[in-house]
Amino acid sequence: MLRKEVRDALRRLAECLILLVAVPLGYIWDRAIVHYGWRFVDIVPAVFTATIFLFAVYSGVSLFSSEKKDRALEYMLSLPVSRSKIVLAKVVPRLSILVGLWGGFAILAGKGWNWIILVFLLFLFFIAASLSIAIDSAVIGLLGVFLLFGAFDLSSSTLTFVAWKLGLISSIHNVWFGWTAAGVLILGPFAAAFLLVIRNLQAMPLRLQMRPYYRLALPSFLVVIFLILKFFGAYLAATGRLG
Amino acid sequence: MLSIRDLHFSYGKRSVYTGFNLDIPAGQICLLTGINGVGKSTLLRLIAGVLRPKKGTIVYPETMGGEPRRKIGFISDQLSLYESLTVDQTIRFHCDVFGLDRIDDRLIRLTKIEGGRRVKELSTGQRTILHLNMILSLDPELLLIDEVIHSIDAYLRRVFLEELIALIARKRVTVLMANLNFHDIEALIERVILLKSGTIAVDEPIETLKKKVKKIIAPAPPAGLTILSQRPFPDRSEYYVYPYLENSALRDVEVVDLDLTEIVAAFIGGEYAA
Repeated sequence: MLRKEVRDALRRLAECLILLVAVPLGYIWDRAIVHYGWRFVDIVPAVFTATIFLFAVYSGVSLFSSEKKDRALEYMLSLPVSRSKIVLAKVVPRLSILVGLWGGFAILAGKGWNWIILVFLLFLFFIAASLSIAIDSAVIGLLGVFLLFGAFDLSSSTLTFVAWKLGLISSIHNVWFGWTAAGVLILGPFAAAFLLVIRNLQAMPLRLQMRPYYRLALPSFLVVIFLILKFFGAYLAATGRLG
Repeated sequence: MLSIRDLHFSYGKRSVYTGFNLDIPAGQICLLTGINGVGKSTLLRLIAGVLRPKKGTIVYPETMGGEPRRKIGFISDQLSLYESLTVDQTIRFHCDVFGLDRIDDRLIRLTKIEGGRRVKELSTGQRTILHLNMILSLDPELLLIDEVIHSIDAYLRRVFLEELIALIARKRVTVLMANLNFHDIEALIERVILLKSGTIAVDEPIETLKKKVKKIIAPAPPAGLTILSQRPFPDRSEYYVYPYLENSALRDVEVVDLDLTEIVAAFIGGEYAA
Protein backbone atom coordinates (compact mmCIF):
# COMPACT_ATOMS: atom_id res chain seq x y z
CA MET A 1 0.00 0.00 0.00
CA LEU A 2 2.85 2.37 0.84
CA ARG A 3 4.39 1.81 -2.57
CA LYS A 4 1.16 2.81 -4.31
CA GLU A 5 0.83 5.91 -2.11
CA VAL A 6 4.42 6.94 -2.83
CA ARG A 7 3.65 6.59 -6.53
CA ASP A 8 0.49 8.69 -6.09
CA ALA A 9 2.39 11.37 -4.18
CA LEU A 10 5.07 11.54 -6.88
CA ARG A 11 2.36 11.83 -9.50
CA ARG A 12 0.89 14.81 -7.64
CA LEU A 13 4.38 16.33 -7.49
CA ALA A 14 4.80 15.88 -11.23
CA GLU A 15 1.47 17.62 -11.80
CA CYS A 16 2.63 20.53 -9.64
CA LEU A 17 6.02 20.73 -11.37
CA ILE A 18 4.16 21.74 -14.52
CA LEU A 19 4.15 25.15 -12.85
CA LEU A 20 7.89 25.33 -13.58
CA VAL A 21 6.96 26.11 -17.17
CA ALA A 22 6.34 29.58 -15.74
CA VAL A 23 10.11 30.04 -15.53
CA PRO A 24 10.87 30.24 -19.27
CA LEU A 25 7.47 31.86 -19.88
CA GLY A 26 8.22 34.53 -17.28
CA TYR A 27 11.63 35.15 -18.76
CA ILE A 28 10.22 35.51 -22.27
CA TRP A 29 7.39 37.70 -20.97
CA ASP A 30 9.88 40.00 -19.28
CA ARG A 31 12.11 40.18 -22.33
CA ALA A 32 9.24 40.79 -24.75
CA ILE A 33 6.75 42.87 -22.77
CA VAL A 34 7.43 44.26 -19.31
CA HIS A 35 11.23 44.70 -19.36
CA TYR A 36 11.78 44.50 -15.60
CA GLY A 37 15.22 43.04 -16.21
CA TRP A 38 14.51 39.68 -14.64
CA ARG A 39 17.13 37.00 -14.77
CA PHE A 40 16.54 33.29 -14.54
CA VAL A 41 17.98 33.27 -11.06
CA ASP A 42 15.33 35.81 -10.06
CA ILE A 43 12.42 33.81 -11.49
CA VAL A 44 13.36 30.26 -10.49
CA PRO A 45 13.19 30.69 -6.69
CA ALA A 46 9.80 32.44 -6.86
CA VAL A 47 8.28 29.83 -9.14
CA PHE A 48 9.79 26.97 -7.19
CA THR A 49 8.46 28.39 -3.93
CA ALA A 50 5.02 28.69 -5.49
CA THR A 51 5.33 25.08 -6.67
CA ILE A 52 6.12 23.87 -3.18
CA PHE A 53 3.17 25.78 -1.73
CA LEU A 54 0.92 24.39 -4.46
CA PHE A 55 2.15 20.85 -3.71
CA ALA A 56 1.42 21.33 0.00
CA VAL A 57 -2.20 22.18 -0.78
CA TYR A 58 -2.73 19.89 -3.77
CA SER A 59 -1.25 16.78 -2.16
CA GLY A 60 -3.46 17.33 0.90
CA VAL A 61 -6.64 17.91 -1.06
CA SER A 62 -6.00 14.87 -3.24
CA LEU A 63 -5.46 12.46 -0.36
CA PHE A 64 -8.37 10.26 -1.42
CA SER A 65 -8.56 11.23 -5.08
CA SER A 66 -7.35 7.84 -6.38
CA GLU A 67 -10.06 6.02 -4.42
CA LYS A 68 -12.72 8.44 -5.66
CA LYS A 69 -11.51 8.59 -9.27
CA ASP A 70 -10.82 4.85 -9.54
CA ARG A 71 -13.99 3.85 -7.67
CA ALA A 72 -11.76 1.90 -5.33
CA LEU A 73 -13.12 3.03 -1.97
CA GLU A 74 -14.92 -0.26 -1.40
CA TYR A 75 -11.84 -2.27 -2.34
CA MET A 76 -9.64 -0.16 -0.05
CA LEU A 77 -12.01 -0.71 2.87
CA SER A 78 -12.14 -4.47 2.24
CA LEU A 79 -8.38 -4.75 2.79
CA PRO A 80 -7.06 -5.92 6.19
CA VAL A 81 -5.66 -2.48 6.97
CA SER A 82 -7.11 -0.20 9.62
CA ARG A 83 -8.47 3.17 8.57
CA SER A 84 -5.81 4.96 10.59
CA LYS A 85 -3.04 3.01 8.84
CA ILE A 86 -4.59 3.89 5.49
CA VAL A 87 -4.44 7.59 6.37
CA LEU A 88 -0.88 7.20 7.66
CA ALA A 89 0.18 5.43 4.45
CA LYS A 90 -1.23 8.37 2.51
CA VAL A 91 0.10 11.19 4.67
CA VAL A 92 3.67 9.99 5.28
CA PRO A 93 4.88 9.94 1.64
CA ARG A 94 3.28 13.31 0.91
CA LEU A 95 4.75 14.95 3.99
CA SER A 96 8.16 13.40 3.29
CA ILE A 97 8.19 14.80 -0.23
CA LEU A 98 7.03 18.20 1.04
CA VAL A 99 9.71 18.41 3.70
CA GLY A 100 12.31 17.09 1.28
CA LEU A 101 11.31 19.65 -1.36
CA TRP A 102 11.54 22.55 1.05
CA GLY A 103 14.78 21.30 2.54
CA GLY A 104 16.33 20.75 -0.88
CA PHE A 105 15.25 24.19 -2.02
CA ALA A 106 16.55 25.80 1.17
CA ILE A 107 19.94 24.17 0.69
CA LEU A 108 20.25 24.86 -3.05
CA ALA A 109 19.11 28.46 -2.67
CA GLY A 110 21.50 28.96 0.25
CA LYS A 111 18.67 30.45 2.31
CA GLY A 112 19.00 28.22 5.34
CA TRP A 113 16.28 26.17 6.99
CA ASN A 114 13.27 28.41 7.70
CA TRP A 115 11.17 26.66 10.35
CA ILE A 116 8.33 29.13 10.19
CA ILE A 117 7.74 28.56 6.51
CA LEU A 118 7.99 24.80 6.97
CA VAL A 119 5.37 24.95 9.74
CA PHE A 120 3.22 27.07 7.45
CA LEU A 121 3.57 24.49 4.65
CA LEU A 122 2.56 21.72 7.03
CA PHE A 123 -0.33 23.84 8.22
CA LEU A 124 -1.55 24.28 4.63
CA PHE A 125 -1.19 20.54 4.01
CA PHE A 126 -3.30 19.65 7.04
CA ILE A 127 -6.01 22.17 6.20
CA ALA A 128 -6.14 20.66 2.71
CA ALA A 129 -6.16 17.11 4.09
CA SER A 130 -9.07 17.94 6.38
CA LEU A 131 -11.07 18.91 3.28
CA SER A 132 -9.94 15.97 1.15
CA ILE A 133 -12.68 13.52 2.03
CA ALA A 134 -15.46 16.10 1.78
CA ILE A 135 -14.55 17.58 -1.60
CA ASP A 136 -14.42 15.82 -4.96
CA SER A 137 -12.76 18.42 -7.13
CA ALA A 138 -9.14 19.46 -6.63
CA VAL A 139 -9.95 22.98 -7.87
CA ILE A 140 -12.73 23.40 -5.31
CA GLY A 141 -10.43 21.91 -2.72
CA LEU A 142 -7.76 24.52 -3.53
CA LEU A 143 -10.35 27.28 -3.28
CA GLY A 144 -11.57 25.78 -0.02
CA VAL A 145 -8.07 25.86 1.42
CA PHE A 146 -7.58 29.48 0.44
CA LEU A 147 -10.99 30.33 1.92
CA LEU A 148 -10.16 28.56 5.17
CA PHE A 149 -6.75 30.17 5.31
CA GLY A 150 -8.27 33.57 4.67
CA ALA A 151 -10.81 32.96 7.43
CA PHE A 152 -8.01 31.83 9.73
CA ASP A 153 -6.00 34.95 9.02
CA LEU A 154 -8.89 37.37 9.53
CA SER A 155 -10.30 35.53 12.53
CA SER A 156 -6.96 35.43 14.35
CA SER A 157 -6.93 39.24 14.36
CA THR A 158 -10.65 39.46 15.16
CA LEU A 159 -10.46 37.03 18.05
CA THR A 160 -7.42 38.84 19.45
CA PHE A 161 -9.40 42.08 19.32
CA VAL A 162 -12.46 40.52 21.01
CA ALA A 163 -10.31 38.98 23.75
CA TRP A 164 -8.51 42.31 24.27
CA LYS A 165 -11.83 44.15 24.49
CA LEU A 166 -13.06 41.62 27.06
CA GLY A 167 -9.88 42.12 29.07
CA LEU A 168 -8.70 38.54 28.58
CA ILE A 169 -5.38 39.62 27.09
CA SER A 170 -3.36 42.76 27.64
CA SER A 171 -2.23 43.47 24.09
CA ILE A 172 -4.23 43.77 20.89
CA HIS A 173 -1.11 42.59 19.05
CA ASN A 174 -0.94 39.19 20.77
CA VAL A 175 -0.37 37.15 17.64
CA TRP A 176 0.04 33.82 19.42
CA PHE A 177 -3.34 34.15 21.11
CA GLY A 178 -4.97 34.96 17.78
CA TRP A 179 -3.41 32.01 15.99
CA THR A 180 -4.31 29.65 18.82
CA ALA A 181 -7.90 30.86 19.06
CA ALA A 182 -8.35 30.72 15.28
CA GLY A 183 -6.78 27.28 15.23
CA VAL A 184 -9.21 26.05 17.86
CA LEU A 185 -12.27 27.62 16.27
CA ILE A 186 -11.60 26.82 12.62
CA LEU A 187 -9.00 24.15 12.16
CA GLY A 188 -9.93 22.12 15.22
CA PRO A 189 -13.50 21.38 14.09
CA PHE A 190 -12.39 20.64 10.51
CA ALA A 191 -9.66 18.29 11.73
CA ALA A 192 -12.09 16.66 14.16
CA ALA A 193 -14.69 16.23 11.42
CA PHE A 194 -12.08 14.68 9.12
CA LEU A 195 -10.95 12.22 11.79
CA LEU A 196 -14.53 11.27 12.64
CA VAL A 197 -15.41 10.65 9.01
CA ILE A 198 -12.24 8.60 8.46
CA ARG A 199 -12.83 6.56 11.60
CA ASN A 200 -16.26 5.56 10.32
CA LEU A 201 -15.49 5.59 6.61
CA GLN A 202 -17.73 3.21 4.70
CA ALA A 203 -18.37 2.11 1.14
CA MET A 204 -21.45 4.24 0.66
CA PRO A 205 -21.96 7.64 -1.00
CA LEU A 206 -19.66 10.11 0.74
CA ARG A 207 -22.42 12.73 0.97
CA LEU A 208 -24.15 10.39 3.47
CA GLN A 209 -21.04 10.37 5.66
CA MET A 210 -20.41 14.09 5.96
CA ARG A 211 -22.49 14.65 9.09
CA PRO A 212 -19.44 15.54 11.25
CA TYR A 213 -18.67 18.38 8.82
CA TYR A 214 -22.25 19.69 9.02
CA ARG A 215 -22.39 19.38 12.80
CA LEU A 216 -18.87 20.42 13.81
CA ALA A 217 -17.03 22.30 11.11
CA LEU A 218 -19.79 24.28 9.43
CA PRO A 219 -21.35 25.82 12.58
CA SER A 220 -17.94 26.77 13.91
CA PHE A 221 -16.99 28.31 10.56
CA LEU A 222 -20.24 30.30 10.48
CA VAL A 223 -19.59 31.62 14.00
CA VAL A 224 -16.15 32.76 12.88
CA ILE A 225 -17.56 34.48 9.79
CA PHE A 226 -20.10 36.23 12.00
CA LEU A 227 -17.37 37.42 14.37
CA ILE A 228 -15.26 38.67 11.46
CA LEU A 229 -18.18 40.59 9.95
CA LYS A 230 -19.07 42.08 13.32
CA PHE A 231 -15.67 42.94 14.77
CA PHE A 232 -12.96 43.02 12.09
CA GLY A 233 -13.80 46.60 11.18
CA ALA A 234 -13.49 47.60 14.81
CA TYR A 235 -10.13 45.79 15.01
CA LEU A 236 -8.83 47.76 12.01
CA ALA A 237 -10.00 51.00 13.60
CA ALA A 238 -8.43 50.13 16.95
CA THR A 239 -5.08 49.36 15.32
CA GLY A 240 -5.21 52.47 13.15
CA ARG A 241 -5.38 50.52 9.91
CA LEU A 242 -8.78 51.82 8.86
CA GLY A 243 -8.86 54.77 6.50
CA MET B 1 -19.92 -19.80 13.45
CA LEU B 2 -20.49 -16.42 11.83
CA SER B 3 -22.98 -14.73 14.10
CA ILE B 4 -24.96 -11.56 13.38
CA ARG B 5 -26.93 -10.08 16.24
CA ASP B 6 -29.40 -7.19 16.34
CA LEU B 7 -28.01 -5.62 13.20
CA HIS B 8 -29.21 -2.12 12.39
CA PHE B 9 -28.20 -0.33 9.22
CA SER B 10 -29.53 2.45 7.06
CA TYR B 11 -28.44 4.58 4.13
CA GLY B 12 -29.21 8.04 5.45
CA LYS B 13 -32.90 7.94 6.36
CA ARG B 14 -33.62 4.74 4.42
CA SER B 15 -33.56 1.87 6.87
CA VAL B 16 -32.33 -1.48 5.54
CA TYR B 17 -31.95 -3.62 8.65
CA THR B 18 -33.50 -3.14 12.08
CA GLY B 19 -32.67 -5.92 14.48
CA PHE B 20 -31.45 -8.52 11.96
CA ASN B 21 -30.10 -11.83 13.26
CA LEU B 22 -28.37 -14.64 11.41
CA ASP B 23 -26.07 -17.54 12.27
CA ILE B 24 -24.00 -19.34 9.66
CA PRO B 25 -22.04 -22.39 10.80
CA ALA B 26 -18.49 -22.73 9.53
CA GLY B 27 -18.23 -24.48 6.20
CA GLN B 28 -21.82 -23.90 5.14
CA ILE B 29 -22.64 -22.80 1.61
CA CYS B 30 -25.55 -20.39 1.63
CA LEU B 31 -27.50 -18.64 -1.04
CA LEU B 32 -28.76 -15.19 -0.15
CA THR B 33 -31.64 -14.09 -2.31
CA GLY B 34 -34.60 -11.73 -2.50
CA ILE B 35 -36.03 -9.02 -4.68
CA ASN B 36 -33.80 -6.27 -6.03
CA GLY B 37 -33.02 -3.68 -3.38
CA VAL B 38 -33.89 -5.91 -0.41
CA GLY B 39 -30.41 -5.64 1.11
CA LYS B 40 -28.47 -8.67 -0.12
CA SER B 41 -25.42 -6.67 -1.22
CA THR B 42 -25.67 -4.51 1.90
CA LEU B 43 -25.53 -7.59 4.13
CA LEU B 44 -22.48 -8.91 2.30
CA ARG B 45 -20.78 -5.53 2.61
CA LEU B 46 -21.55 -5.40 6.32
CA ILE B 47 -20.02 -8.83 6.83
CA ALA B 48 -17.01 -7.85 4.69
CA GLY B 49 -16.45 -4.78 6.86
CA VAL B 50 -16.80 -2.18 4.12
CA LEU B 51 -20.00 -0.96 5.76
CA ARG B 52 -20.40 -0.48 9.48
CA PRO B 53 -23.64 -1.25 11.30
CA LYS B 54 -25.28 1.51 13.29
CA LYS B 55 -25.99 -1.01 15.99
CA GLY B 56 -25.49 -4.71 16.54
CA THR B 57 -22.57 -7.08 16.25
CA ILE B 58 -21.02 -9.36 13.68
CA VAL B 59 -18.95 -12.05 15.34
CA TYR B 60 -16.57 -14.02 13.18
CA PRO B 61 -15.27 -17.53 13.88
CA GLU B 62 -12.23 -17.54 16.15
CA THR B 63 -10.19 -19.24 13.44
CA MET B 64 -10.30 -16.00 11.46
CA GLY B 65 -8.14 -14.29 14.04
CA GLY B 66 -8.09 -10.67 15.18
CA GLU B 67 -8.34 -9.18 11.67
CA PRO B 68 -11.12 -11.15 9.92
CA ARG B 69 -10.68 -9.23 6.64
CA ARG B 70 -7.43 -11.12 6.15
CA LYS B 71 -9.47 -14.28 5.79
CA ILE B 72 -12.46 -12.88 3.89
CA GLY B 73 -12.64 -13.10 0.13
CA PHE B 74 -15.15 -10.44 -0.92
CA ILE B 75 -16.19 -9.58 -4.41
CA SER B 76 -19.04 -7.17 -4.89
CA ASP B 77 -21.16 -6.26 -7.87
CA GLN B 78 -19.21 -2.98 -8.04
CA LEU B 79 -16.01 -4.93 -8.88
CA SER B 80 -14.14 -2.24 -7.02
CA LEU B 81 -10.42 -2.08 -7.85
CA TYR B 82 -7.93 0.70 -8.54
CA GLU B 83 -8.83 1.27 -12.17
CA SER B 84 -5.73 3.22 -13.08
CA LEU B 85 -3.42 0.37 -12.01
CA THR B 86 -2.42 -2.32 -14.47
CA VAL B 87 -3.33 -5.96 -13.90
CA ASP B 88 0.24 -6.74 -12.75
CA GLN B 89 0.28 -3.72 -10.43
CA THR B 90 -3.09 -4.74 -9.00
CA ILE B 91 -1.88 -8.25 -8.27
CA ARG B 92 1.36 -6.92 -6.72
CA PHE B 93 -0.62 -4.48 -4.60
CA HIS B 94 -2.93 -7.26 -3.44
CA CYS B 95 0.00 -9.53 -2.59
CA ASP B 96 1.72 -6.71 -0.68
CA VAL B 97 -1.31 -6.01 1.46
CA PHE B 98 -2.07 -9.67 2.18
CA GLY B 99 1.55 -10.67 2.64
CA LEU B 100 1.64 -13.10 -0.28
CA ASP B 101 4.69 -13.78 -2.44
CA ARG B 102 2.57 -14.45 -5.49
CA ILE B 103 -0.88 -15.64 -6.44
CA ASP B 104 -2.00 -18.64 -8.47
CA ASP B 105 -3.09 -16.80 -11.59
CA ARG B 106 -4.53 -19.77 -13.46
CA LEU B 107 -7.86 -18.08 -14.12
CA ILE B 108 -6.17 -14.90 -15.37
CA ARG B 109 -3.89 -16.84 -17.71
CA LEU B 110 -6.87 -18.81 -19.04
CA THR B 111 -8.56 -15.58 -20.11
CA LYS B 112 -5.28 -14.29 -21.59
CA ILE B 113 -5.61 -10.94 -19.81
CA GLU B 114 -2.38 -9.03 -20.45
CA GLY B 115 -0.55 -7.90 -17.35
CA GLY B 116 0.15 -4.46 -18.76
CA ARG B 117 -3.47 -3.53 -19.37
CA ARG B 118 -5.14 -1.09 -16.98
CA VAL B 119 -8.07 -2.40 -14.99
CA LYS B 120 -10.36 0.26 -16.49
CA GLU B 121 -9.65 -1.19 -19.94
CA LEU B 122 -10.88 -4.66 -18.96
CA SER B 123 -14.37 -5.90 -19.71
CA THR B 124 -16.72 -6.69 -16.83
CA GLY B 125 -16.07 -10.40 -17.25
CA GLN B 126 -12.31 -9.91 -17.24
CA ARG B 127 -12.47 -7.74 -14.13
CA THR B 128 -14.59 -10.40 -12.48
CA ILE B 129 -12.03 -13.08 -13.29
CA LEU B 130 -9.17 -10.91 -12.02
CA HIS B 131 -10.98 -10.23 -8.79
CA LEU B 132 -12.11 -13.83 -8.33
CA ASN B 133 -8.58 -15.09 -8.95
CA MET B 134 -7.20 -12.68 -6.35
CA ILE B 135 -9.68 -13.59 -3.64
CA LEU B 136 -9.39 -17.34 -4.22
CA SER B 137 -5.61 -17.05 -3.89
CA LEU B 138 -6.05 -15.77 -0.34
CA ASP B 139 -7.25 -19.22 0.71
CA PRO B 140 -10.14 -17.52 2.48
CA GLU B 141 -12.23 -18.96 5.28
CA LEU B 142 -15.22 -16.83 4.35
CA LEU B 143 -16.21 -16.14 0.77
CA LEU B 144 -18.71 -13.39 0.03
CA ILE B 145 -19.74 -13.29 -3.61
CA ASP B 146 -22.25 -10.74 -4.83
CA GLU B 147 -24.05 -11.37 -8.12
CA VAL B 148 -20.97 -11.43 -10.32
CA ILE B 149 -20.95 -14.99 -11.58
CA HIS B 150 -23.44 -14.28 -14.35
CA SER B 151 -21.12 -11.65 -15.84
CA ILE B 152 -18.54 -14.21 -16.95
CA ASP B 153 -18.97 -16.54 -19.90
CA ALA B 154 -20.23 -20.10 -19.49
CA TYR B 155 -16.81 -21.73 -19.82
CA LEU B 156 -15.12 -19.47 -17.25
CA ARG B 157 -18.11 -19.79 -14.99
CA ARG B 158 -17.55 -23.53 -15.01
CA VAL B 159 -13.82 -23.09 -14.37
CA PHE B 160 -14.53 -20.73 -11.47
CA LEU B 161 -17.04 -23.16 -9.96
CA GLU B 162 -14.50 -25.96 -10.25
CA GLU B 163 -11.98 -23.78 -8.37
CA LEU B 164 -14.62 -23.05 -5.77
CA ILE B 165 -15.46 -26.72 -5.37
CA ALA B 166 -11.76 -27.55 -5.01
CA LEU B 167 -11.44 -24.85 -2.33
CA ILE B 168 -14.48 -26.19 -0.47
CA ALA B 169 -13.08 -29.72 -0.64
CA ARG B 170 -9.69 -28.53 0.63
CA LYS B 171 -10.92 -26.57 3.64
CA ARG B 172 -14.10 -25.72 5.51
CA VAL B 173 -14.79 -22.46 3.77
CA THR B 174 -18.04 -20.68 4.51
CA VAL B 175 -19.64 -19.29 1.38
CA LEU B 176 -22.36 -16.70 1.22
CA MET B 177 -23.50 -15.93 -2.29
CA ALA B 178 -26.02 -13.35 -3.36
CA ASN B 179 -27.26 -14.51 -6.69
CA LEU B 180 -30.21 -14.24 -8.98
CA ASN B 181 -29.13 -16.98 -11.34
CA PHE B 182 -28.98 -20.36 -9.64
CA HIS B 183 -28.67 -22.84 -12.40
CA ASP B 184 -24.90 -23.22 -12.17
CA ILE B 185 -24.61 -23.17 -8.42
CA GLU B 186 -27.64 -25.16 -7.31
CA ALA B 187 -25.61 -28.29 -6.74
CA LEU B 188 -23.31 -26.42 -4.34
CA ILE B 189 -25.95 -24.72 -2.21
CA GLU B 190 -26.80 -26.18 1.19
CA ARG B 191 -29.02 -23.47 2.60
CA VAL B 192 -31.30 -20.82 1.12
CA ILE B 193 -31.92 -17.53 2.90
CA LEU B 194 -34.60 -15.32 1.40
CA LEU B 195 -34.65 -11.74 2.59
CA LYS B 196 -37.73 -9.60 2.75
CA SER B 197 -38.02 -6.07 4.17
CA GLY B 198 -34.87 -6.37 6.22
CA THR B 199 -35.78 -9.70 7.78
CA ILE B 200 -35.43 -13.37 6.90
CA ALA B 201 -38.60 -14.59 5.19
CA VAL B 202 -37.33 -18.08 4.46
CA ASP B 203 -34.33 -19.91 5.88
CA GLU B 204 -34.27 -23.58 4.94
CA PRO B 205 -31.86 -26.27 3.85
CA ILE B 206 -32.23 -26.61 0.11
CA GLU B 207 -33.57 -30.17 0.16
CA THR B 208 -36.23 -29.25 2.72
CA LEU B 209 -37.19 -26.21 0.66
CA LYS B 210 -37.60 -28.35 -2.44
CA LYS B 211 -39.99 -30.59 -0.51
CA LYS B 212 -41.94 -27.66 0.89
CA VAL B 213 -42.37 -25.53 -2.24
CA LYS B 214 -44.44 -27.06 -4.99
CA LYS B 215 -46.29 -25.98 -8.06
CA ILE B 216 -49.88 -27.12 -8.06
CA ILE B 217 -51.73 -27.09 -11.35
CA ALA B 218 -55.41 -26.95 -10.57
CA PRO B 219 -58.65 -25.35 -11.76
CA ALA B 220 -59.00 -23.47 -8.46
CA PRO B 221 -56.73 -22.37 -5.65
CA PRO B 222 -55.87 -25.38 -3.46
CA ALA B 223 -57.61 -25.13 -0.13
CA GLY B 224 -55.61 -25.13 3.07
CA LEU B 225 -52.31 -24.20 1.45
CA THR B 226 -50.53 -20.88 1.47
CA ILE B 227 -50.14 -19.56 -2.06
CA LEU B 228 -46.96 -17.64 -2.74
CA SER B 229 -47.81 -16.66 -6.27
CA GLN B 230 -49.88 -17.85 -9.13
CA ARG B 231 -50.05 -17.85 -12.89
CA PRO B 232 -53.61 -17.90 -14.17
CA PHE B 233 -54.55 -19.79 -17.34
CA PRO B 234 -57.98 -20.24 -18.93
CA ASP B 235 -58.66 -23.78 -17.72
CA ARG B 236 -56.10 -24.64 -15.06
CA SER B 237 -53.84 -22.20 -13.21
CA GLU B 238 -50.45 -22.73 -11.61
CA TYR B 239 -50.25 -22.13 -7.89
CA TYR B 240 -46.93 -21.97 -6.09
CA VAL B 241 -47.45 -23.06 -2.50
CA TYR B 242 -45.35 -23.00 0.64
CA PRO B 243 -45.30 -25.01 2.76
CA TYR B 244 -46.69 -27.93 0.81
CA LEU B 245 -48.21 -30.52 3.10
CA GLU B 246 -47.82 -34.10 1.91
CA ASN B 247 -51.14 -35.22 3.32
CA SER B 248 -53.20 -32.36 1.86
CA ALA B 249 -56.55 -33.57 0.59
CA LEU B 250 -56.14 -32.32 -2.97
CA ARG B 251 -58.17 -33.76 -5.84
CA ASP B 252 -57.84 -33.30 -9.56
CA VAL B 253 -54.51 -31.50 -9.24
CA GLU B 254 -51.03 -32.02 -10.52
CA VAL B 255 -48.19 -31.48 -8.04
CA VAL B 256 -44.90 -30.52 -9.67
CA ASP B 257 -41.44 -30.44 -8.11
CA LEU B 258 -39.48 -27.23 -8.65
CA ASP B 259 -35.85 -26.42 -9.08
CA LEU B 260 -34.21 -23.65 -7.08
CA THR B 261 -34.73 -20.99 -9.74
CA GLU B 262 -38.45 -21.66 -9.86
CA ILE B 263 -38.68 -21.76 -6.05
CA VAL B 264 -37.03 -18.38 -5.63
CA ALA B 265 -39.06 -16.94 -8.51
CA ALA B 266 -42.22 -18.10 -6.74
CA PHE B 267 -41.27 -16.26 -3.55
CA ILE B 268 -40.15 -13.14 -5.35
CA GLY B 269 -43.19 -13.19 -7.66
CA GLY B 270 -45.41 -13.23 -4.60
CA GLU B 271 -43.67 -10.15 -3.22
CA TYR B 272 -44.09 -8.21 -6.43
CA ALA B 273 -47.76 -9.22 -6.61
CA ALA B 274 -48.46 -8.17 -3.02
